[in-house]
Amino acid sequence: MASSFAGLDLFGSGPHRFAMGPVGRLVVGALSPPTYDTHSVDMGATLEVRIVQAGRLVAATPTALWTLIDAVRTQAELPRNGTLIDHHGRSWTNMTLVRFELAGPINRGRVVSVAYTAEYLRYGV
Amino acid sequence: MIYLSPRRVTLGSNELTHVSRVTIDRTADLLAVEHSDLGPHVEFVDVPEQRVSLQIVRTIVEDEAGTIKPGQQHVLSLRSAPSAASPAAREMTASVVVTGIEHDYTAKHGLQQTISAIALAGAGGVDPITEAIVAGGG
Repeated sequence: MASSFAGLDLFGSGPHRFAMGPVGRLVVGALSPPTYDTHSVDMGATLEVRIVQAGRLVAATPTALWTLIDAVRTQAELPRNGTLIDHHGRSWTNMTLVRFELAGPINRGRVVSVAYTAEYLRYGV
Repeated sequence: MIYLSPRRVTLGSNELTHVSRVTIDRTADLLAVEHSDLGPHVEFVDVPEQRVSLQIVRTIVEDEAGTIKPGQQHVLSLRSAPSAASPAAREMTASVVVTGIEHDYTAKHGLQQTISAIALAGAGGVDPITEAIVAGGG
């Protein structure tokens, strides 16, 4: 199945993969602000859920590729909040697309494409 | 692409004699390869950066002044046909930058000179090799 974010198929033009970031407790290391304790301190919260997506946008022309890029940029700048669903139906609710970054220059070969990373964050929980 | 015993080969103003073959290799300088979360196999491949390399192999039969040097840019032209009586011939031209001139002696082949070059495209999207079928043999 196709992946989606907030009901949008922003990345369906090319292959992409999802990876979950670190999970666990929010711990501040020793001698770090704001406590500067000599030992690590549990801040009483879990780490925010972070999902990183890496893939490639693919189009037939540079103009068409920029249309895809601009569509993602628009959602990242809103910011857009919604449910992220991967290719296998695994979903993460209440995610926000917080960052979208091209991995390098646009590649012009048989097709026009560019590799990217996108980052989603669930604020506060 | 290969031209065996082309009838006439010029590199800039240099006419190259006794050419046994001109080969054109096409290789990837950059591969874009992508997988997805759907399985183990490659879902996307493209070659957004390519290189067209040429080798001119000829036999040296007498003393020559070495006027061709690495870094020089020349137009390579050749005409190839099965025989001088052939009704048609292949003509190839390419703007190239010479990357090497090497020599190798064997008792079987004598002194062979290999000129290596990389073809230039006037614009990145245009194939740097131009080939045409023309009337008349070599």
